[in-house]
Amino acid sequence: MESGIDLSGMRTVHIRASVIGVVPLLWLGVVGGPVEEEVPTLRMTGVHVTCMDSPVNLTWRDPELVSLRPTQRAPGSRGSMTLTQPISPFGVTVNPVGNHVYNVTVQVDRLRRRQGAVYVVWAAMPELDEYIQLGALGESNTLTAPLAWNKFMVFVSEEANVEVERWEGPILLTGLSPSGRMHTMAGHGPFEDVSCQQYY
Amino acid sequence: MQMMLPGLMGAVPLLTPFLPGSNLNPEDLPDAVFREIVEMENGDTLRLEAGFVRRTIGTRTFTMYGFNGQYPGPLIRVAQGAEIVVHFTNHIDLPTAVHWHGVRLDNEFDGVPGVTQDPVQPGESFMYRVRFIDAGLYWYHPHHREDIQQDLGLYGNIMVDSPDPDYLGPVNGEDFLVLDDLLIDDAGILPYGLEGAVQTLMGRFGNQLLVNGEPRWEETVHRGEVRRLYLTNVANTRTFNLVLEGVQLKLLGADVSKFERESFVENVILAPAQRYLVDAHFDKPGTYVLTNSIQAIDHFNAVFYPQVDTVGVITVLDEPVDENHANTFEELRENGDVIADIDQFRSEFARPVDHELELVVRAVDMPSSMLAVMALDTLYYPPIEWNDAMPMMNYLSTSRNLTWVLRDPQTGLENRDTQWRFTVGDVAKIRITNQRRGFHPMQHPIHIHGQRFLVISKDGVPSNNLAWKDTVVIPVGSTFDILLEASNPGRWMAHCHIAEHLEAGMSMVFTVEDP
Repeated sequence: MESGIDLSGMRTVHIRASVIGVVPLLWLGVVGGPVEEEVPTLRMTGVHVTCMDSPVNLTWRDPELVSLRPTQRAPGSRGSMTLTQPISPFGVTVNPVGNHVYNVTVQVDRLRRRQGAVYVVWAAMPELDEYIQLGALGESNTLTAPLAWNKFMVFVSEEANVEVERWEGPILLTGLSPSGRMHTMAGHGPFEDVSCQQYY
Repeated sequence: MQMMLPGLMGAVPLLTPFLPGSNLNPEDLPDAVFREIVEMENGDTLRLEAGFVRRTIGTRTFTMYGFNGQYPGPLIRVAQGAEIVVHFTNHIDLPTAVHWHGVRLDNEFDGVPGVTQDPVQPGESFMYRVRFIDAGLYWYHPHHREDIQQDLGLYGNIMVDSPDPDYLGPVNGEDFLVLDDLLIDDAGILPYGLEGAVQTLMGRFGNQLLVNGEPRWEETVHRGEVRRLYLTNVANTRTFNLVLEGVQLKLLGADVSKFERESFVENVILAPAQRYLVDAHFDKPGTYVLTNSIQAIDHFNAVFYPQVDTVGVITVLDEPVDENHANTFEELRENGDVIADIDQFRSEFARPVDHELELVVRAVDMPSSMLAVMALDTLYYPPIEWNDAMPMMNYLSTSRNLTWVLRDPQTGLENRDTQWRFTVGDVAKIRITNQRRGFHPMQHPIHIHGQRFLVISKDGVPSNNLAWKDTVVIPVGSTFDILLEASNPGRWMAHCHIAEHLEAGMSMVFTVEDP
C-alpha cells in the first residue's frame, strides 16, 4: 500500500491536524484570502506571526526564476537562476527516482572579475550533504548545466581553477531553488522563531 | 502531533457521502474475474454490461463495479479498420455511458452524456458502433460521474492491431498493464459525494496502487525475452513514474501512434488517460521489480522525500528464450510511416496560434481559513503533484466550492461557454498554458475527443520526436503548443482527465463541421 496518505479524520467530523498545511492557522487567527482573485494575498489581523512581520511580499512570483544574492565578498553583484526543462516524450522530464530534470541557467551581473580567477557554480542539497560542481561561468558570466534535484542551493565561488572538487575560495553569490519557497510550517509558531525571509 | 483547527473544526465536505452498493450484501454479488481478451472481427457484436461485483484486493473484499463481471473490463482486440457493435446495458445504480477514449469514431457514439447522448439510465441499454481507423492502444470508461464509476472499476483496454506485420518489432510476449489506485481505510472504500465530486482540489489519490486491478502484477519470462508492455493509466488523478530497474526499456508509441523514432528510456511517466507502448529486454536471470518512484512532498517540513511503491515483480528464468530478439531490440527504428504522415502537417507548425486556453482554478465557497493556508503555499508549486500532500484540505474541496476552468483568453469565455468551430480538414494550433497564478495550480492531462493532435512544442522548445496524441499533460507553469487535426465532424468535448477536475467544471465543447 502506498504510504503517503493520512486518512485519519476523513470518516469523522473533526479535522485532525496531522495534515501539514492546516497547522499555521492555529496562529493565524482570522485570516481571509481573496476568493475570486488569481493572485492571492494574505490579510492578517491581530495575531503575531513571524513571517507576516517580515517585509517579504507573500504574493505570487515566477517560480522558475530566483535571484542570487551577493555575499559580503561581492558587494554590488547580482545574479539570477532560471530553470527550464529539457524536452521529453512524456511532456514532463523526470528521472527514475522522481526528481525533475532541469537545465539550470545562472547569470551573474556586475561581477568584479579578478585576473586569473575562475568563477565556479555549485549546487548543493540544503543540508550540504551532497554537492556538485555545475561548471564555471563563461565570459558572459553565464552558465547552463543540467541538474536533477528538486530542492537545492546554488552558489558561485571564486577559485584559482575549475578543477577543485569542493569550493575553496570565497562564496560570492547564493540562491535557493524555486522549491525553496515551499513554505515550511515548521519554521513558524511554536517551532522556531524564524522569519520566512530566509527562504527568499 | 495532533491539533484541532479552530477554523475548520467539524468541517466535512458539504455533500452527502455516497458509496455505491453500500446497501448490498457482498455475498450476494458475483466474484469479479480477471479480464478476458475478446478478439473481434469487423461487424462483430459485443455485449457489454456494467454491474456490481465483489472484488477481492489483497485479503479484503469490496463492493465495486465491473464490465461483464471482470477486472479490468474485457480487453477488446480488433484489426485496424474494423467496426464493431457494442450492445451496452447499465446494471449499476447510476446513469452512465461508455466513452471510447482516443478512438476517432462517429460522434453519436462517443459516449458523453449531455453532448453526444443522454445518459443510459439503470436498466437501460445503448448501442454503440465503434470504428477503429488508427492502430494503437485505447481504452473505454464511463463519462458520467467517472470520479465514482471509473474509480470503482469500470474501465478496459482496446488494442487495435495494424495489418502490417512489421508495424512494431518482434517480441516474445505481451503484457497489458492498466495502472490505477483506490482510496481505502479500515472501513473500506472511502465515500464519494452524492451530489458532486469531493477531492476536487487535487483529485482522488488512492492509497492502494493497482495494476490490472491487483496490488501486484507478476510475470515470469525466459532469459533473453523481449516483452511488449502496453501501459494505460486509468487512475482518477495519479501520475505514475514507472521504473523497471535493471531492465532496458525502449519507447515505441503513445496514445494514437508510434513515435517518429524509437528511443531508450529509463522510466515512463503516465498522466491519467495516457498510454505508452514500451519494449523491455530481460537479458539476465533474476527478479526485477516494477515500481512507481516519485519524490513526494512533505508540506510540514517543506521537503521532498522519495517514495517507491512496488507494483510488479518479473521473474526471469535462467532458461533461455527460444527465439532471441536481442539484436532487433537494440535497433532503434525510424518509423517512416509516422514521419510521412506527420510531414503533411509540418509546414503548419509555424502557423500563428489559432486558439488559446488557460488552465486556472477558482474557489467559489471554500473556507477562508483553508484559502489562507493555501495562499502560504502559493509561493511554490511543483510541476507535477505526485502525491496527495494535503489530503484533508483536498477532502473538503468539492465540485460546489471549487471550479476548475478552461479559459479562452481571446474571448474571455470559460468551460462550456467557449465556442470553437472548425471545419473538417482544418489544422489549428492551440496554445495551452497552465497558469501558475492561483491559489493551487496543478498539472492537467488535457484530453480532446474524436480528433488527434501533435505536441509540437513545450515552453517554446520544439518537440524532436512526435507521436499522435489524444491526451497531453500540462505541468504547472508550462505552455504547450499542440497542432490539432480537425478530421472528425461533430460536437466534441475537451477536458481535463483528472476525474474530479472534470466534475468541477473543467471541460468545453467544440464543433467540427462537415465542409
